[in-house]
Amino acid sequence: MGGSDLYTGTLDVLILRALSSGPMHGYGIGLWLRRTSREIFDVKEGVLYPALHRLQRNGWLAAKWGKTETNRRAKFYRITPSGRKHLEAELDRLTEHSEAVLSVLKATPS
Amino acid sequence: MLFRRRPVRPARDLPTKLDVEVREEIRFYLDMRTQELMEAGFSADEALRAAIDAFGDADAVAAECLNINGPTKQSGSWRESMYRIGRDIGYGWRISRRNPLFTAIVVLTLGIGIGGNAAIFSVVNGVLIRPFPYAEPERVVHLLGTQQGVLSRHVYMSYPAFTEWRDRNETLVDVAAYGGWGPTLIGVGDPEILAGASVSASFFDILGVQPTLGRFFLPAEEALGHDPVVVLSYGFWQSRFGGDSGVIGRTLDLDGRPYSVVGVAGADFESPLGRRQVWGARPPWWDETVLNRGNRSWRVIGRLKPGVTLEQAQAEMDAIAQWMGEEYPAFNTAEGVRLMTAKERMVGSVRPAMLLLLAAVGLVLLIACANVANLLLSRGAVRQREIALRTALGAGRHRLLGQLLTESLALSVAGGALGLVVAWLGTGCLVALGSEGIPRASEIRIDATVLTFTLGVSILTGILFGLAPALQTTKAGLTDMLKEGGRGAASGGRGQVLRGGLVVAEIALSLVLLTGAGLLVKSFRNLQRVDAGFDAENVLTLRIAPSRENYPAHRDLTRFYNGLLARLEAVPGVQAAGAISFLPMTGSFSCAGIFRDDRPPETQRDREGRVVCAEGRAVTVDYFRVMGMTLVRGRGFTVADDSGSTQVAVVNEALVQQQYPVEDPIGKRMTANGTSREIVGIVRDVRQLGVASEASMAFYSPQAQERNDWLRRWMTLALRSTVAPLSLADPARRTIWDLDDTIPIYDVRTMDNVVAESVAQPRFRTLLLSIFAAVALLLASIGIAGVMTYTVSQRVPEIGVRKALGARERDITALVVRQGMKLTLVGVALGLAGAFATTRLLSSMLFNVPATDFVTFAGVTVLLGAIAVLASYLPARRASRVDPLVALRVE
Repeated sequence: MGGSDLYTGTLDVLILRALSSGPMHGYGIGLWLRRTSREIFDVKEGVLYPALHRLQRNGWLAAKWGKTETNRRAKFYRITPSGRKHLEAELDRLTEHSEAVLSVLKATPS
Repeated sequence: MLFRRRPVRPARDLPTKLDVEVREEIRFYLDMRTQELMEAGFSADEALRAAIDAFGDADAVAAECLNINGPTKQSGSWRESMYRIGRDIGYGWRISRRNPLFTAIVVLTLGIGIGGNAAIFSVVNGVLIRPFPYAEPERVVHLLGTQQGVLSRHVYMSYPAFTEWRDRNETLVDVAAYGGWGPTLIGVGDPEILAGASVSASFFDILGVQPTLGRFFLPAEEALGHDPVVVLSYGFWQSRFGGDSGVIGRTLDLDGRPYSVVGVAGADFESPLGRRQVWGARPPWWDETVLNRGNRSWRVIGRLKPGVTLEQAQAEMDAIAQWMGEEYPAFNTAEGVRLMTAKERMVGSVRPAMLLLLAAVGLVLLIACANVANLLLSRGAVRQREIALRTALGAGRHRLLGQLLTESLALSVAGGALGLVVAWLGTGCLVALGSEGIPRASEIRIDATVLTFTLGVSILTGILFGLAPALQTTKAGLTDMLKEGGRGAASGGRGQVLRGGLVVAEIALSLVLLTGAGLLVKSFRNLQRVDAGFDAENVLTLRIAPSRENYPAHRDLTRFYNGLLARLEAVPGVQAAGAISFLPMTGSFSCAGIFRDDRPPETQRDREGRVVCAEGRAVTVDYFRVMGMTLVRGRGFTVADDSGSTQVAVVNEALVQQQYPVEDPIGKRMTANGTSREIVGIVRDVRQLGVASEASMAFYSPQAQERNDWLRRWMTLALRSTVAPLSLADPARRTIWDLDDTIPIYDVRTMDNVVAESVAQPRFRTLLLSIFAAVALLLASIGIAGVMTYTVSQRVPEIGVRKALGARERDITALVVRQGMKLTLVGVALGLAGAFATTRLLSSMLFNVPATDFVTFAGVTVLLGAIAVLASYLPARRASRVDPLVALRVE
């Protein structure tokens, strides 16, 4: 299950990152993800919601219902302090991981 | 896809607010996304469709969200489990609706497999498991006569022997004698022979049953000189008297005597003799001629006293036998009694065959499971992306396993429901097919036990075929999926091994079944080739019962039969006409004490009893000719052998071998049933009790001479015909009724038919096992073909490369077939080992075939091999036609 953990973890980090600059509703997060990460994940967009609910359950996100600019009811998510801590830890881990991968890739096979 | 179907509803009592909120969130997302796409230039419809498509399965997403927020996620409470299972089933239902063909194939396969099991189990349940409707049925025991401690087929007793066993034992509450009785009911319409039994007065008390109406017999009613009384069966009471309760006290005219009806038995009463219409208390006019020691035709039944075990009672019987042997050394040597429970007595002989069939149909279900597991594995590969999505959505492996297993269970329970329909139809067919061979056939029905069994089997089946594919499918993580080029783990190395293993198992199990069926078929052919000692072809048989009233004296009956046979011989198409008291293959025989007159018994007591017994049958002059029996030496009977001349007998070869092994028996005298007779001829042995049982000692007496009225009055007529035998039935009936229209005529059958019915049991099990083996073979070949097709589809690029490198179509075909053969060989090897280990269980059912018959083993191996080659040849042909260019582009 290592692979899928990594994958799930990646999505979690991306969501936390999206919310680190301010509260957003699900659609907004999705839009941000699609614009910034460009097809990084080739799965259905619905994936987003269970991830949001899971993060909320873990205490990394908080949510409340509010109104959009067009006056529609929507559920807004914001990152909690413990979410921020988790984001930082995960970013460290990912950076470390990608550096490790990159160093392997840059090595010339003998 | 979205919300067009019924949305997933949480189970009742659970908060639905969350559900609504999740759905609102998703709807908001989709609205916004649609708007975004419309702004990009899509039409409203297109935009909505694209948004939904990009989103994925909204139901699944909602379900996952609810699951994450599930009210009692950790508690695993019953309610929460039900909630989750309900959702899984709903999800599985939607999945299966998208794959109707897959679902149909799986449910059909399982329906046949489970249905077969339920049908056979309903037979096993009715025959072997359902308790007899007696009070404490396990205490009801049969007393079977033994010779030298061995249970022979002559297990019935004489009336005096019965009274001795009854009076001497201390371990039985009571003992009753009973025997078949076929009285002629004279009333309106054609005279009718009833299936009845004459019984000791205590018969019903020993069985511990209650009458529906009236009472059973009083002790006094079996006493000599008492007015005759009968008890009616429930069915007979309903059909003849319309269930009229005023029947008690009315009289029935049976054999010309008025019998008072005293009671009606219960609807569920199971007579030890099978279906009966009337029971008479021991007919009060019976005297020494019927109740002598020579007439060993009484069946004896008793009830164990409370607290006495079968073993204790048996020990007492053995002690009594020993005591009687010492008391009357000449009379009772080596005669004893074996106790057997009522159930064992009735169903013991069919138990091995029933259990065999249950095991066989179980194997068929296992093969069906293997096929379904293979299908699920293939689908697992297809569903890999969906599984990956759900994993990405945060579903743990346990959750996914649960989901997949729930789907399997839903499939198997659907299969079970279809199986019940199959079982319902199948049980009817089984009873129709095997009614002659199955005791207690009327007890076979789909009851609560069968339903429970079916449910249990369905659930077990679901777990069995669902577990391995589920484990395999969920094992694949996303990285594995990516590594294997999107094919997923189910198609990878380990999946391949699992598929191969399933096919090997299918082949092995099929081979075991085929071998068993092959052995039974061969055995059955041997049975049919046995020389039974007579020629059954072109013989019509009918039983008649001339009454005592119309033919009271010995000479009246002689004159009647002589006249009747002469008239029958004049019927066009009749070549010869004869009659016998006990037709072969009908299970009826009588056993008479015999001794050689030149070795006279020492005591008077010995003269009425005997040490050995031979089957005695009265025949008319032309009987041997009608049945095509071979006279080995001496002469047959002539019209001169009548009551005025010397008593003569024709004996069979078995009697000669045992009684006159050295000297020529012709002209010697022997005494049977107290009558001394001169042996005038020897005939070939006739297999009286069935083609599979060797003939035992037998002698024939001329009907005109025979002194026992019960041997010479109710006889079976046999007509050798030059035309189709059944076409003689009507002319024969008319001829008989022209002579006397009060004579009941029954059991009109061809002799071929009689022989066929006598092998009904072996035919039944042979037919069923062959059907099971055929289904197994079909399933296994589908399995092989399926796996080979799948393998070929996975190997398309490789095949393309090979072709590009110059391989010919033939090489490719051989390559694929070889792979199929590898699996087949392993399966055949395992199957042969399994067959060697298990066919010995069949030994008791095989006739002149060793359980490890080489020809059968070789034959089924070749057959299975050929079918396996064929099953892998078809996919191989397809593989060989692969276009290398197309194939290479697939990667």
